[in-house]
Amino acid sequence: MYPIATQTVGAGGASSITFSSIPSTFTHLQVRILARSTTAGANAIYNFSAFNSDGGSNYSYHTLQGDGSSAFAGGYATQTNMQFRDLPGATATANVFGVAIVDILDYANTSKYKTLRYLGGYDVNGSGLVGIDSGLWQSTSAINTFTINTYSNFAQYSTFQLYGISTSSTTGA
Amino acid sequence: MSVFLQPIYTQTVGSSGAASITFNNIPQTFTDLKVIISGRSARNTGSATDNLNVAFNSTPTVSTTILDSGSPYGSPRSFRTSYVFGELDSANDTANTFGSLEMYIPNYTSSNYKSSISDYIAENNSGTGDYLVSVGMRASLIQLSSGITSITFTTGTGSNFLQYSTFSLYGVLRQGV
Repeated sequence: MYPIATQTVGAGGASSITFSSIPSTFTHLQVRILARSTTAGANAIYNFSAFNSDGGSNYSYHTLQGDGSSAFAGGYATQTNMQFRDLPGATATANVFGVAIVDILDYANTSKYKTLRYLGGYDVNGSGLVGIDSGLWQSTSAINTFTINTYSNFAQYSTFQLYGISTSSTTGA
Repeated sequence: MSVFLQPIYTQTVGSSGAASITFNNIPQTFTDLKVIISGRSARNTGSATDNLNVAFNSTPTVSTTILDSGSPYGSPRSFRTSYVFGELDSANDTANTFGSLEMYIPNYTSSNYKSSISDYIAENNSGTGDYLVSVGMRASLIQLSSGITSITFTTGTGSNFLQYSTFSLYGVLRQGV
């Protein structure tokens, strides 16, 4: 597992985070996030979009989410982004950041559409959200760039880390 | 090279498909094991995903507790089953789309029973109420009193894994090893 890039949001906030020039030399990608949004309300949303600058309706996503008392599941076809909903917003308890890990397997395989497996959540000592979500970008292109944004800004100190994961050349068969 | 997460084996399914995937002779020198799968089943009957079944040391003695999105998607549920670690896309899902699954097995060389956790997604370009989509998490008890030396993967319906499916095994080292 190799660190590729890290972005930390500064004092002015950041409307989006873009990872570009992603090398095709790994097998899998993993994004690790510790973030908070300035979007009004207690809960906000990550938008994963613009894979290889594709702004078309080539995305879908599905959500399974719990808040400690009930579960929610929803699905959305033919979208322009993938939305994952476990990000604390402006009125969430101060200094609480949400955590998310997003795996993108075989991101450079040109025989596969690209899928995202998302695990994320946060807790503010009395309420919170936790979710496991899926995303699909219908393209066989190797991923070389993508963007994460929220409806307002990511708050200062939010961090976004991109890692590459390699595989063995030995089969063990 | 990462010391923390070390690649052990990888198998990629060829054009003829594969009825099963087995990792043999798993070294006993790591602390934990991690499996990453990008897979698609040849199942083409009905509109449904396919299960991923796992046997350790050729023995399917595993119990599993499940939280998932339900079938059809959008009916969250929790239940128990045996040796089913997740779900993968099937041949009726959106073309070129492969399920994504990760399994983590701490202390796999132990002479006690082993616990594991897995999480997975099977995507399809569709909304709520679709049988071709699944997301979930599973906690399992591997009822083996010896170290894990082999892992075998099959689909729940006995269908082949389709071409380009990949199975990767990693070893994880704790500090000081």
